[in-house]
Amino acid sequence: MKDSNGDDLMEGNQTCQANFVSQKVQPYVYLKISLTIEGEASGKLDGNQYKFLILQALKETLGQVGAATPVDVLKLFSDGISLVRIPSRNSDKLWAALTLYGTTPSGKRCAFRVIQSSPFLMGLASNSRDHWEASSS
Amino acid sequence: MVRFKNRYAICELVFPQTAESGPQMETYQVYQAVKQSLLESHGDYGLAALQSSLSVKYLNIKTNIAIIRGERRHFDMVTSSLIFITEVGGLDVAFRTLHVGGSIRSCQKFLIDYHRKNLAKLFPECETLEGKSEVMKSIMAACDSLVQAHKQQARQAGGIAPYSALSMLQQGEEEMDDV
Repeated sequence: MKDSNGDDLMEGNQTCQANFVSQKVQPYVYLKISLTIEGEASGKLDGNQYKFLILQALKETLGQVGAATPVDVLKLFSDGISLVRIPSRNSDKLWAALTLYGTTPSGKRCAFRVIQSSPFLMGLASNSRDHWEASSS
Repeated sequence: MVRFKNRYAICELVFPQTAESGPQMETYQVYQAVKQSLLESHGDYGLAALQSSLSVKYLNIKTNIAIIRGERRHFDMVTSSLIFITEVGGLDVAFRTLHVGGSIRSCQKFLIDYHRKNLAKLFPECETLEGKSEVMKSIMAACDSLVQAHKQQARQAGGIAPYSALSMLQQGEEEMDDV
């Protein structure tokens, strides 16, 4: 294809594109989790209480050693959804510990649900499920 | 063939009060203490992983030695939980892990060697004459085989055999002259 000046159009349109796939295991796993407590609006918890409940979950299933793993709550949204970072080494056990937690210290039933997980924080930026819902509605 | 491989930890129970080596203690009390510590340190996961294989195989209150068994795969959870035990059956005690072996026999071998070395160390710490003679008797008994082997040498040399029990104690022990 040539434009009016006779230059090759495809030449100018060549973009540098490289696909990069990391082969090694990433150090962290980022999870988007939602916490629902029975009989309570989920937006009432602040950062400290949220982290405390996560640590309680780890402590029940994995003990003091498990609760000592560096779990970080990176961001807490108002509806009980949060971005959490856990080391990838024991990520499956930590995920299972969150899933198994059923009762808060005050006796209310609760549930941690993992909505998304990714070895990169950027991977949590968008969710293909939301795209699907948006296009179908 | 699936074979369950175990690890055996030899622990010394250290009691803070030096008055006596401790009143009666049963294996089930040590077992409960280890189980409780496992639950606290490693949670439901740790306890469940070791529940079927955990047991206290040997407990000797006189020498303060306990042997605890657990399966090999998760044994690091046992050894790390033993550190945090502070009391057993109402008594204050600390666990000091001496050795981890793969079988009861290897543990036994280690214990014989360990006691043999320790007897020689105990001698200078004895304050009474009775204590000293008791310790010397134990050392003589332990080193009986060595004494036998060098008896001939002693007769020929006309003196104390180089590796007899007495010569072991003589190394740096002035009290030998008083006995």
